[in-house]
Amino acid sequence: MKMHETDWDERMQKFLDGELDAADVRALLEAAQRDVVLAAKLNAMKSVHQYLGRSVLESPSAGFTQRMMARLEHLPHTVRHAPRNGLLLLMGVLVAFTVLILILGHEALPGGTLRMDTSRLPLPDVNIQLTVNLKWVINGLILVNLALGFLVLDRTVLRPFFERRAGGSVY
Amino acid sequence: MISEKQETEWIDRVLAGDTRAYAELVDGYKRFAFTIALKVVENRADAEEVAQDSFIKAYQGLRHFNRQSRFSTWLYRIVFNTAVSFKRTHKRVFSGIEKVEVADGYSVQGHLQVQDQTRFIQRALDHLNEADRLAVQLYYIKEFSVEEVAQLMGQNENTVKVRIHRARLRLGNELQRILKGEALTL
Repeated sequence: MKMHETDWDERMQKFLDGELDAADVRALLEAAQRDVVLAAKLNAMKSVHQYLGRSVLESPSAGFTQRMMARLEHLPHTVRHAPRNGLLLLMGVLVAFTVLILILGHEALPGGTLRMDTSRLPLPDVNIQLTVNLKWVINGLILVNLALGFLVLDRTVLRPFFERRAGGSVY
Repeated sequence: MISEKQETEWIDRVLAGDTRAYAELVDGYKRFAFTIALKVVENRADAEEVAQDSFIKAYQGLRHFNRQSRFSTWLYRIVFNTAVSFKRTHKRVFSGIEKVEVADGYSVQGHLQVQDQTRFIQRALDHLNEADRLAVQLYYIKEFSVEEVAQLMGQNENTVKVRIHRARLRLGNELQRILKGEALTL
């Protein structure tokens, strides 16, 4: 082969795709007649091309569309949060979280407990004394708020992000 | 071949609440969707599952389909990604063609017949780098251009062209190697 091997490879690829002009096709075939190595390579490439060219469109099994439509009918109705609403909700959660943290750190919390004494109310037969630890209540609210925050973050930011990423190149 | 106009009409009907119009889209594209899935997962039952899941995903996302490309292009991309994810979930292991001894286990008797060549090419194809194999197989699916394969695989055209050329060259070299081996035994 007088021409560099990669040049012949390039020509063969073009030849297979029908992108080689008549003069270049003639030159390639003439070169293949003179060079057994090139001829063997060209024949192998042609066999590969013919094999690949025999691929046909495959058909799924009968009733594919019917099964598909049946699945659609039984599809649960899923509510998707609009990104804007989700972000607003997330901001709300963050604000609530900040407020709760501030309350928790405030000195005005009277010993962290709240007493409810119904004897002061004008209800003669009711006498309940209830003591609630305010810090526990606020801690509980913070926990609920955190869980809600993670849920909203997942639905509005993380899941759409990973779905978009999955739509990109997989290689 | 479904025209863009027909496609748009069906999509509008689906979005207006007529789910039967979706059956038209499924009917029109099921063969392409199934073939793409089959090329990736290499198993008919799995390919059917992937194709069905892809049509469901497309249906659910139809409201967000921006119509900048054809529905078919968008759908095939969903099929391709769903199939790749399916395959990854099922943990198939791939090796490069360099590791493959295609002639192993083959007793060369007489001339290599066309069906033998086919078998060898198929085996060599199965052991190509996965992305190269898919690029070359999708390219040879009727009516798919390099540009369409590139869109489908989410890669640029040059990369796909290189993959197709490299895959063909490796398959050609592999076939030559086998033919040479056969000639030596004669």
